[in-house]
Amino acid sequence: MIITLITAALLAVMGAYCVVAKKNLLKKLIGLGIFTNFIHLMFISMGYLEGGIAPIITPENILSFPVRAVDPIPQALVLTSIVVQLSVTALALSVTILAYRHFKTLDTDKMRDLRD
Amino acid sequence: MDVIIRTVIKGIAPFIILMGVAIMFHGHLTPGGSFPGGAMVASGFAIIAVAFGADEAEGKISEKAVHMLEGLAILVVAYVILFETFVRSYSGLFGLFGLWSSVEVMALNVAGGIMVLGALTLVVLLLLKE
Amino acid sequence: MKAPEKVLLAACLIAIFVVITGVFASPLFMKWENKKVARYYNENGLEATGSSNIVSAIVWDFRGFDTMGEETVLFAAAAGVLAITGLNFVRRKK
Repeated sequence: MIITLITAALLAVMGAYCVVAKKNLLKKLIGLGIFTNFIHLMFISMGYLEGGIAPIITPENILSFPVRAVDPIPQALVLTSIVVQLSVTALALSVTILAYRHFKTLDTDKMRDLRD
Repeated sequence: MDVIIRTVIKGIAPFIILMGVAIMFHGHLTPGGSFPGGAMVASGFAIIAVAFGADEAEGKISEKAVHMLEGLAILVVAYVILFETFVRSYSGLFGLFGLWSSVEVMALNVAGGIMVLGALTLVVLLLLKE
Repeated sequence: MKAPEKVLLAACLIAIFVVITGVFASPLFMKWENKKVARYYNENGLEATGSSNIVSAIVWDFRGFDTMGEETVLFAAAAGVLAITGLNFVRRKK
């Protein structure tokens, strides 16, 4: 579908802007999460079929299922990717806690000056 | 925290945990499976930990027990995936669209759900103390 | 940020926007006749595993080793957070 791809492109622009142009460390992590969500949305919307149904077999649609179902492979890959994004966010937050204890600030401009 | 929040959460938290366990068990019939079900049960534990404070939550859900549960669940997942041809012979016991139509996928969903639950609860309880 | 750096950032972001909608919305990536593996999974998923949910059959049976690796990553991340925020598991008796 074209509309979900345009939405994904807007999310990419917003996520890239947050990672590059913000100075607070927590806001950069939020931008990284937005960028990962853009990747997932684009990946799933590439496997769309016109007038398709979800890939779950019920007693009603068992005969016409192989013709009408959408692509199930990107959904399986994105499930794994969501868990990996969760692990990256958890570890990044605990490293931010360590950095705050050491530098006493969350500003990346000041973290560059106090080089020990 | 407040009396209103504590009373409401005492009434609503068992339903959240029950919903998560139901989604975990029916992973081969409806959309869902291990990851959404485990996340919902972890949300139930997290809402209890936020409303009642970190010290009282530590008495009910200890972190050592959660860590050991995680280690056990990943061993079950590894063994069932490596020896899955023996578990597959029990599939289709009582019909095609019933609960026992696929023992292999159901057992793996439950074990993976316990794994995800353990990891998310551990992270929430540890970051709550900071 | 100064003015020329802002113009460069805006140009890069517009380039990202155009490339993504131009390349990935084209019929090269969205044609259903070229997807042989997805058609095989859709047709033979029910009788190979017995589960009605094709996505669960892919995640746990056809591509089970990817899920095993992902669970290892989750365990390693939880152990890493445990090691950083610190917890005493072993009480030494003196």
